[in-house]
Amino acid sequence: MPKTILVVDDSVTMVMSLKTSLQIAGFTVETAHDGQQALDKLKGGVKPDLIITDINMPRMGGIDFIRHARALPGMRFTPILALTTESQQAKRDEAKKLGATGWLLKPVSGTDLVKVIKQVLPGA
Amino acid sequence: MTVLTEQRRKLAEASVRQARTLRRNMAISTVLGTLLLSLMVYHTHAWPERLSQWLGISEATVLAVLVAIALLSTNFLAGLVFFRTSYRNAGSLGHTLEELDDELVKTETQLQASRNAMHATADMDQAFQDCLQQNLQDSETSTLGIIERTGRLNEAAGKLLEYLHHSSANASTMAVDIQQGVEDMNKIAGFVRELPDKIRQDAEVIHHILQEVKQLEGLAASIQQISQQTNLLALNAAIEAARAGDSGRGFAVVATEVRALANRASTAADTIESGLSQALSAVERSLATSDLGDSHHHLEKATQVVDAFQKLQDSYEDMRQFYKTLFSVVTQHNTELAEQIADMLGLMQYQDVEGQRLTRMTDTLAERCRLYAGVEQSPTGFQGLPEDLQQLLARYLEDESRHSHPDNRHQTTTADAGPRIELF
Repeated sequence: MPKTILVVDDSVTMVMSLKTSLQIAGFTVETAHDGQQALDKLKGGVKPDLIITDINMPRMGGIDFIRHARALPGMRFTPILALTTESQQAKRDEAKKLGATGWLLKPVSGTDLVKVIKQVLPGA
Repeated sequence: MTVLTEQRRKLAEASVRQARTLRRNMAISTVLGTLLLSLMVYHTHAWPERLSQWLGISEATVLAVLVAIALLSTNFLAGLVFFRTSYRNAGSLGHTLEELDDELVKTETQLQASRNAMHATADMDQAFQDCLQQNLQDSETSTLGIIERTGRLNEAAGKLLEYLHHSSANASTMAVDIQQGVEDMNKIAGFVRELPDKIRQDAEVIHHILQEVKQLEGLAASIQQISQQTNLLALNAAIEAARAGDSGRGFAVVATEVRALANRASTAADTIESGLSQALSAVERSLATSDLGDSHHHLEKATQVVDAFQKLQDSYEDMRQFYKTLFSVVTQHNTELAEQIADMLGLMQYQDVEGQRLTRMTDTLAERCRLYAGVEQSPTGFQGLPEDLQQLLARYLEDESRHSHPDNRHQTTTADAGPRIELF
């Protein structure tokens, strides 16, 4: 059964490019345009095997989303990758402290992204 | 500028007012002096004459001197009033000039502040220009990358198409071989189907021939038996003819002839038997020869069957290997195509990076507009603007430095010492 990945980004271009890349690689993809929408989806029953989230987003940013997502039941060990242009070390440290699995700086090639996903998602 | 205009207006009005006052005072003094002199001359017309007599000068001179004194007096009075008015106006003018001087100093300060603000704006515009230039380069890099990858995709698709064309030709050749093998197999199947009937027919013919030959063998044995009995009878007749003497001599001749006939019949029977044996042998040899021929034919057919099966098996093996290779090649091409497409889609992330950079720039521009708009409401005017603009620029540059730049994507780490891909 294909693994499900939740992509969270306010950029439509990013969401569409990531969705297509991941679908080509054989994943099922769910999308959300900000942290709040992603959180609503998780509460609504979407159970992703991995989450890829932007950091700077309207309504709810990536840092807050990671904090709230980790507090949800069954989401404690789900890998969460931050995919962002933010290179500030303080933000990385904060995300790491909140339970993020990795930090990727845009742009990341599709090949590299799939490699990282397979690294953090055994059996993918 | 509004204050300066006001000061200029006040200064001009004061000058005009002063000139009007002077003109009015001069006119009033002249009119009053003339009236006073006229009244003096009218009511006391006798005293100029008395004065001329008392002074010993002509009356005309006295009148001229009076007119001159009157005019000088009125003008002196007018001048006195003028100086007093001028003194008051000069005080007002001096105050106005002091205010004007203050305004000029303030204006100079504002101008210096605005020059500084312009420099800060220019620095900021330079930063924006660098940002836009970076965006332009990134867009170009992204576009070139997409074009390059599209070319690779097209090349990979072309190779796959060429390979499939080649494979199609190979498949056609293999299909012809397999069709040939199927036709051979159909021929063999027809032969195998007819073989039992043919064998049965041959067996029936042989059996019939053997029956007929066996019947002929019995007939030859009967002739042989008749010949032996006839010979025995002829021998008995010869014995009886010898016993009868001369009367049996003729009978002895007949017996001899009969015996000779029996011997000839026996010989004929032997000849027939021999002939039948030879004929039977010939039939058997013929059958044997026929079987051998059929065996050769069957052997040849069997060889053909083996060859056909071998060819069919080879064709099947070729086809199996062909499809195995085809699947492998198509899978490899498909993987390469998928990677190319994924990398090409990865280049789309440039747009997001550039979009965020433009958002930061437009936010800064909006903040700058607010600072410009705030100058009108500020009592200090432009004075605080340069510092505010420099702070805004510093914040913008700091914020910009906290974000990744696509041109560093091949580096493993960023300027912030963080790797581009980091797993915690």
